[in-house]
Amino acid sequence: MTPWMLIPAHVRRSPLRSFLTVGSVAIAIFLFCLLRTVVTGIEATVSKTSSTRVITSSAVSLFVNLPVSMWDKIRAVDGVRAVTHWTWFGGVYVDPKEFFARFSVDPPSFREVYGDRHPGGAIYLLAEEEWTAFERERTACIAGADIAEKYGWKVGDRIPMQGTIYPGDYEFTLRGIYRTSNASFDQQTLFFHWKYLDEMQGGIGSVSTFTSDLESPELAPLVAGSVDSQFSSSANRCITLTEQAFQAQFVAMWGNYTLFLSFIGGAVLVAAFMVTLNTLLLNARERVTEVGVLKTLGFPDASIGLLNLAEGVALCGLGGLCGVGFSLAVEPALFSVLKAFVPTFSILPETSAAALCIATALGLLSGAIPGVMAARIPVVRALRRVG
Amino acid sequence: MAAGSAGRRVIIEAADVVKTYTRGGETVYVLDGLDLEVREGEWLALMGPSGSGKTTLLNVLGGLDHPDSGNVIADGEDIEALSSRDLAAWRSRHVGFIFQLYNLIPVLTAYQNVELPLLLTSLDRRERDAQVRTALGLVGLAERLHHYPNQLSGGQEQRVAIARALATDPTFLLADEPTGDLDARSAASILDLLATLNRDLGKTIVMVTHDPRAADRADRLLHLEKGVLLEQERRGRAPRPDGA
Ligand SMILES: Nc1ncnc2c1ncn2[C@@H]1O[C@H](COP(=O)(O)OP(=O)(O)OP(=O)(O)O)[C@@H](O)[C@H]1O
Ligand SMILES: [Mg+2]
Repeated sequence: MTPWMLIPAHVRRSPLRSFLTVGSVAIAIFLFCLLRTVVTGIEATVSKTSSTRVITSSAVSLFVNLPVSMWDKIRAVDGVRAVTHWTWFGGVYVDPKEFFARFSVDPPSFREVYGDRHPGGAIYLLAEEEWTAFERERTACIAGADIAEKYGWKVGDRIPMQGTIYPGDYEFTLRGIYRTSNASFDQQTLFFHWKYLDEMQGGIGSVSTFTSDLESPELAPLVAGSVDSQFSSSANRCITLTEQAFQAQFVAMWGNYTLFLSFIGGAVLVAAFMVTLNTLLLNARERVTEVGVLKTLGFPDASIGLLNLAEGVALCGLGGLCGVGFSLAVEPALFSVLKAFVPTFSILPETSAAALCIATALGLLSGAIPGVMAARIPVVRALRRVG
Repeated sequence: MAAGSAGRRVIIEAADVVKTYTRGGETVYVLDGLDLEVREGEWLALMGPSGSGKTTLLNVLGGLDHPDSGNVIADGEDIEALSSRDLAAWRSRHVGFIFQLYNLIPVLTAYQNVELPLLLTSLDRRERDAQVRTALGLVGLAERLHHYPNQLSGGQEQRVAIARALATDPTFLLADEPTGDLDARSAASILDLLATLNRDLGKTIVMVTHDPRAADRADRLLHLEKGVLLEQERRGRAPRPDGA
């Protein structure tokens, strides 16, 4: 009933116009995927983390350390299964521009809380021998697969590091390259022994944060309360948050950013909609006589409206497929560019699906207007336009 | 043939048709109680000054436009009683339109243009193919199947348009100044083609024209003036014997 062959015929007859329409939708959808993935990457950091872990840091600021002596006291709190600590190192590797996170940790307890000894499964994935090698050697370190790949590190390599907050020339031996089981944890961090740091400094006696692993997630408020109250009157007031809430502190800084990104994404889609609608309206204007002829021949109004609608969906759908396809193709390249800004960058199937739905909706919306116009124009008026 | 048509059945019957337009608050009677009978196999020419309502009349007869009052009975069907959807289906079965400016669809080939009305029939692909080739062969364009309209001359375009109008084997053809945009030679050959369709295939044709030479080819000539049709004495041809 509907002369579908008109759609490819029109596309073929004005290839540049069709290309520009498809292209504008493709670019908009590509940008949508990109921006949306940045947003989902940031959100994943918060939502995917487990709440059997709680993190204690100074109530003053994240940059103020806590005395290592608190360790035993936290360990003694009811409901706490194991406690480990992290200390931000800073430092320079080769050049100050080569930036990645470096933390000193306590390998045995780190392994209990984040490694293969954690009852809920490891976050940081290393072979057992690697864990053991990391624990055994004072100058051992482990590094994430992403930076190991970036710098071409292999197990056994020596990694020199110059201290900044904690001055001195350090040299680590790489004993393991980890991957993470959870996208909220990056693969771009280097971990080494806190003891090595402590010795080099002649005793720093402090750490950045403690991570306590609880018997069960429901205990989090209770444990947090009793840890914080224990130190509330001391010089080292602290605040204990779930891992999720702790990461959310960082993400809060991103909050307005995601809103801003969503706003840009929305604006680009609106622009693509206007370009498409403009093209389709232009097409419709040029085809008034054609509509008159189709109606004269006996094609029902609904078929003619449908034809316009389908053309919109076809152009935008094609644009959507190109946009999604392109963003999937360049995903790895994009991640390497954006690594410094976002914790993870992986285009979720939901994002691709949403992008295709949006493209289809753009097509329906921009095809519906000329479609309704074409369906409703009386045949005599359509024929008189030119003849 | 021409003489014989007088005894045949009436294929289009318009009675007391009124069509008005309002222009600047004033009502203009374009068709003002018009009556018309067209018999099967007849070739009727309509003449009249520009703006006299010839196109309007064809549109009403072909079910493209509704009169304000009056009846049009075509092939036994009161087309005023049809819904717009049914009217569209009725048009596709019964009417072949031929326009002054051909009105081919520029992005489709000659073949596809002719196939278009066949998409509304129940014919399958192979039957359509045979029909398209027959129609284009009939108008002498069997060699131009895959040309686009802009690759054809005006006369050839009009032939494709005629093939399109014929493709579904409609009950009658309505032609609005079919030679109006053509040079004398192409015009003559289009008229020859219409004559063949009328004479050999028995097609009923209602043709609007400004060209007396075109009007001469028809069996009967009517003048549209002040909203009604007037029978006209023919030059060079005797009026047809009435009924006998
Ligand atoms: N949609 C409309 N609105 C107002 N007036 C109209 C409309 N359509 C036609 N008319 C008027 O109706 C009259 C008849 O028009 P029509 O096109 O039928 O004339 P015509 O005899 O075919 O003229 P031509 O020989 O120039 O083709 C004209 O005066 C025209 O201006
Ligand atoms: Mg006219």
